[in-house]
Amino acid sequence: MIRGSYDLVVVGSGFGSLFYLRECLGHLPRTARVALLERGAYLPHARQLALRSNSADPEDPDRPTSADRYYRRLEGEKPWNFTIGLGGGTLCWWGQAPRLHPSDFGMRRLYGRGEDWPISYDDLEPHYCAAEEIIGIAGDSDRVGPFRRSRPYPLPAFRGSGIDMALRERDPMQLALPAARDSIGALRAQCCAHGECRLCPQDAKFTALNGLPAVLEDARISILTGANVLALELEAGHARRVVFERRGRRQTVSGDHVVLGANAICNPAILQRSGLGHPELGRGIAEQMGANVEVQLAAHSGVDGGTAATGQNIRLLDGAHRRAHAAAAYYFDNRWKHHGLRLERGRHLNTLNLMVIAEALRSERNFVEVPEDWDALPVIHHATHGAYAEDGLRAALRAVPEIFAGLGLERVSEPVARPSEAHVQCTTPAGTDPGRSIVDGDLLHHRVRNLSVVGTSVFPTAPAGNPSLTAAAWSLRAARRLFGAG
Amino acid sequence: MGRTTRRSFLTNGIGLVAAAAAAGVAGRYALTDIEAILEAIVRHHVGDDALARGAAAAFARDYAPMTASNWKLRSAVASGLYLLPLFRGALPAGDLARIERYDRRVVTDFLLSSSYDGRESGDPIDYLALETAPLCNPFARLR
Ligand SMILES: Cc1cc2nc3c(=O)[nH]c(=O)nc-3n(C[C@H](O)[C@H](O)[C@H](O)COP(=O)(O)OP(=O)(O)OC[C@H]3O[C@@H](n4cnc5c(N)ncnc54)[C@H](O)[C@@H]3O)c2cc1C
Repeated sequence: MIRGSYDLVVVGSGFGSLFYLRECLGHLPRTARVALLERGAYLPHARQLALRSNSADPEDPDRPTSADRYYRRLEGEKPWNFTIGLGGGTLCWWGQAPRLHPSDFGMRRLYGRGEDWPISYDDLEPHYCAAEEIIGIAGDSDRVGPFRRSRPYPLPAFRGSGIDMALRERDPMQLALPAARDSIGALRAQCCAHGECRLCPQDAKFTALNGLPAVLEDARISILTGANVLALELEAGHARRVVFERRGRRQTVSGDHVVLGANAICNPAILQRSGLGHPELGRGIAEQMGANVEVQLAAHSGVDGGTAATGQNIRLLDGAHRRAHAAAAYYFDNRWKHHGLRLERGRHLNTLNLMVIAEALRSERNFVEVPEDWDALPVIHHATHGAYAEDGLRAALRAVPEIFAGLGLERVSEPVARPSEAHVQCTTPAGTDPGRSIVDGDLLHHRVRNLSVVGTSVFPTAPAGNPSLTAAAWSLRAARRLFGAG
Repeated sequence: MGRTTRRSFLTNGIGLVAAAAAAGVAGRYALTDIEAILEAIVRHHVGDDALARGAAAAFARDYAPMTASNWKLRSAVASGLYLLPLFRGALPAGDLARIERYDRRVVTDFLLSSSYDGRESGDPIDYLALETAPLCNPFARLR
């Protein structure tokens, strides 16, 4: 039951909100009251496996739901992928958990493209370590490349596939890909490289349900699922009440501080309905642009590594090319799903699915439209990833053979576009200039100072690396600073 | 012309099924054809010398009903008649790619269902039990 006034009202329960909340709980008194409003249902891991879905209808928990029930898109435009449910994207994510590249935070300063982030890699570094510890990330602490770190990873890296390991021996740009899956069975069950991590059969991947039970079960928190937050009511420039609908009934809950972490499509919709319109609000919705290629080598297996994807090649992740076109990441998948094993005798396993992922920048042509009618779904307009991303992806695809030079490369297949990278970002961007951004570096709304907006909606650009670890680390930092803790 | 027609007839995948139906052939007969093709695909690509005796046939027996109930798979099997080198040379690239895709699927499913785990042992590869989507990656080296 959610009733009365709360010290903290948290909207959504994905990466942004739960890491923010976790940090707050360490600072709030024992008598504090926190309300968590979650639109989706609570679906335990076993139910997810049974339903083959990460989310279900809160009013009919036997009915699986998918993202397309929560937004509309224009015909012919790309789909968007996210999870509505207690745990948000922590349930469906694959657990690829790299840090962003230090240069990702200074795109305008370094390359004259996109926007600078209001924080730097070094600002975030201790919070990256804290988030990695909480999540339980497996990574290589000895070979970190440009991702300088002050603490070792909590879990050892997975063993790479044969192709990945052969490259690590000869190419300093080839690194282990950090993963939120348990490499040794220390925190959760050990990963068995099943390769369909959305529904991890072992529960080896970090989710809010297996990794943050202390947060979800904290006695100070009241959790209400099936609560669709529509808007905030403001008074004298402060967020006073959160308006939500549950089982067809509109209700409000009041709080001293509101944390909005309802994903990068719903966050701008809620702010817009609250009368907090801004030229940049909902504008620039972005995600990376990706393609798969199959690489066949004369020797070395591409499917014998210890987890779903084992390595990354960072040769195009940063550099002067970012003035002209996007940076790109290469991820070494450890699966045969896309192409099958090879036909040639003695080479059945010598196949690699290489994921090529280009960064994207915000474009004003891409935006979330919020209808006047509160019951209508937000409409996403996303005409294109933009020439910057497209050129970057093309350049990265052209460069694939160079990665494998001298390793007995036999064939690189035609690329197959990936419909969605499942990383919705950039709709409530953070920045130092209130005229061009929605929140500041502490994730506080520029105008409404008792409102924090969290999650990947605050990213000013969409770098090539996966975003969730950064969203978690940024939430930890912002929450600490809310309590003056640094 | 006649040859092109026959080729597209088969590669469209309608050939085997439609011909069987037109001739009033029982479903069981068509299934047997599919089994023979599946066995041929496995033997051709994995190699008789690498296979335990009867492994490909046993796999094909279990696998065929799965294909038979799936129109798309079944049509791909029909086009697998082009395994015959005689036809293969004359095929357009698109058809070849389609056949290769299907062959890869069959060979993958066979290997996943067999004693083959990717490591060189020299033992013949035996069929164990049909397993097209194993719970864990059998080739993974976990540590
Ligand atoms: C299949 C898949 C695989 C992915 N794999 C990776 C990966 O390997 N690595 C990676 O870094 N990222 C991955 N992601 C992306 C990752 O899930 C997102 O980056 C991350 O979840 C974003 O965090 P967030 O806090 O912004 O939003 P979310 O985690 O989506 O949280 C939003 C929360 O708000 C709730 N909510 C939404 N609207 C409302 C409302 N109106 N009222 C109340 N509650 C609401 C949602 O139910 C949810 O709990 C993947 C995503 C998908 C779909």
